[in-house]
Amino acid sequence: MIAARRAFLKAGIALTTSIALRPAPSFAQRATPRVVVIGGGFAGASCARALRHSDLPVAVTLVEPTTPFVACPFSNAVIGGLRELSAQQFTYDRVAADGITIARSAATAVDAAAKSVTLADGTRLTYDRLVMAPGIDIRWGALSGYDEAAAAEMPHAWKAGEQTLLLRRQLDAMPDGGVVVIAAPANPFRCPPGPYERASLIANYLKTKKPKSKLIVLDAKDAFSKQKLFQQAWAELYPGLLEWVPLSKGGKVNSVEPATRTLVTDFGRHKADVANVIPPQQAGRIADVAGVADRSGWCPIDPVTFESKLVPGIHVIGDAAIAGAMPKSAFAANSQAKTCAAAVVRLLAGGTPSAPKLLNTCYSLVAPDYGISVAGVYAPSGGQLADVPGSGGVSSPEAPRATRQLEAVLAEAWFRTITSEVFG
Amino acid sequence: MSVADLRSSRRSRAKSLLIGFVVIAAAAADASAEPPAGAASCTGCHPARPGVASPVVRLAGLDKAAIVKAMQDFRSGTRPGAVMDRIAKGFTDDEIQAIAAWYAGQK
Repeated sequence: MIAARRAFLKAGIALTTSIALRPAPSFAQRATPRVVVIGGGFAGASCARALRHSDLPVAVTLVEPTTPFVACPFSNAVIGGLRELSAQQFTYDRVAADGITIARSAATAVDAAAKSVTLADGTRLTYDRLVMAPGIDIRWGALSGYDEAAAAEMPHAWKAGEQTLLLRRQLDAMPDGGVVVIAAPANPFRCPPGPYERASLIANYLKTKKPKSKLIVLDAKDAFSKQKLFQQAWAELYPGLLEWVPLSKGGKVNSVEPATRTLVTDFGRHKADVANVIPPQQAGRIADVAGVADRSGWCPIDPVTFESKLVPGIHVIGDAAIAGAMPKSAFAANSQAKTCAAAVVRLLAGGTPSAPKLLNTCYSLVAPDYGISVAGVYAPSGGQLADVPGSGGVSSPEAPRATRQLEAVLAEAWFRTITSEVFG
Repeated sequence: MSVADLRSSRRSRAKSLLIGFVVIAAAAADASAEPPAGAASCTGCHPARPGVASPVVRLAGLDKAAIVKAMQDFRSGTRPGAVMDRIAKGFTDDEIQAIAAWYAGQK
C-alpha cells in the first residue's frame, strides 16, 4: 500500500515536472517539430542555435552552401589594411556541435503549401516552420552599367570575401596621388553607416600611405547614419582628403562605365583610379522565389513573430526583413533571430508569442582609435517595429577623445562577443 | 498515534513534498525558459559565455539588485555609459526587474 502510494507519488512528480518544463501539448504523441533555417549569417546561425537551446526539443536544419562564413562587420578594416580577412572567417563546427544539421547546398525552391524546401543538390527538406535569413543580393542592372562583370572592375565589397580583398588590392596598387570614388546607395541597404565607415578607413589608409591621393563619396542621399559625428571626425582627421557629395550637389550616380572606371552623375563624370560601387540591394533571391518579398524587394513581417505578412509558416529575419525602425545590421539580425526563435518555439507549442523588445548597437570606426556608435531599443507599435520613445541615439558630439578611444575598444570587443555567441 | 493519524500525517507530508517539487520544477523552468522581453538581446555585447576578451561585464549570475541599480542609474543619467545610457531609457521598471531576475538565475 505504502509502496503503491510511493509509486503514485513518483508518477505524480514526474508528470508535474514534465508539465512545468513543457507547457506544450505533448510531443510524445507526434514527431519532434522540425524547423528549417535558410542562411547561415548572423541572423540564421543565431536563430538555429537559439532554437536548439530552447526547452522544446526541435530538429533544426541550417541551409548554407558556403563555408567558412565571412563576416561583414569590420571588413572595412580589412579594406583599410588594418586587419586580415582571416579574422572575419568563421566555420560552422560549433553550430553543428549543438546538434544542428548543416545542409551544405543552396535553397532553390520553397513550397509553402507542402511546407518543403528544395536544395540545389536535389534534397527536399520538410518543415513545421521555416525561418529565412537570406541576407542581401545585389540588384544587378538597377544602376545602369553595373553588372557582375562590372563588379570585377569596380568592386562593391558589400558581401565580405573575395570582393573585400579585390578592393584592398586595388587600393594597394594605386599610385600616390590617385582618386578613389565610393558610390553610396539610396535607402534601404545593408549597414547604413557602412559606406561612411569605409570612407573613413580608406581615408585613414590614404593619409598614412598615399597622402597626395583624394577620396570622393558620391551619395544618392542628402543625409546618412551618424552623419554629424562622421563629418565632425572627417574635418578633424581627414581635412582636404575626403569629400562627401550629397544628392542635392549632384552625388547620385546614374550609370557606371567599368572599362574606364567612370561614374556618371547629372553634374558630370568622375574618372576614378579605384571605384567602389555600393549598388542598390534587395533581399536574398530565395526570398523572392518563396514569395515572401514584396515589390520593394524586401520582406514585410509581423513585428512580434517575424512571420511573413505574405506567406504563413515562413519567418524572415535579418537584412532581408522590413523591420521598421531597426537597421540592417548584424546586431539587429542577432536580436531578431533570438526573438524569432522564442516566437517559433511558442507557436510550435501551441502558445501565443508575447510582445518582444529588441536592441541594436552599431559601432563605426572613423580611425583605428576613434569609434562612434548608434544604439536603439525597439518594440512593436502599429504593426511595425518602432523606436521606444526617449531611448537610443548616437554618441555625444561633445564627447572627449578618450570616449572615442573607448568606443573603438568596445567596437572590437563587440565583434569578439557576438561572433563568439553566433559561431563560437 | 493511531494508524489513521500516521497515514494522515504521511499523506500531508507527501502533499507538501509534492508541492515542493512543483515549486522547484517551476523555478527550474523559469531559470532556463524563454527570457523576458529584451533580455535575449543583451548578449550582443555582454558575453554569453565566459572567456571572451571584453571590458563589458557578463550578466549571467550577477546579483539581481546590482543589475537593477545599474540599469536605473544608466537610465537616470547618474551613471555615465558608453551606450547603456541610451539603451536603459528604453526599459520600464518592471522590464528591468524581470531582466535582472532572469540573468541573476543564469549560470
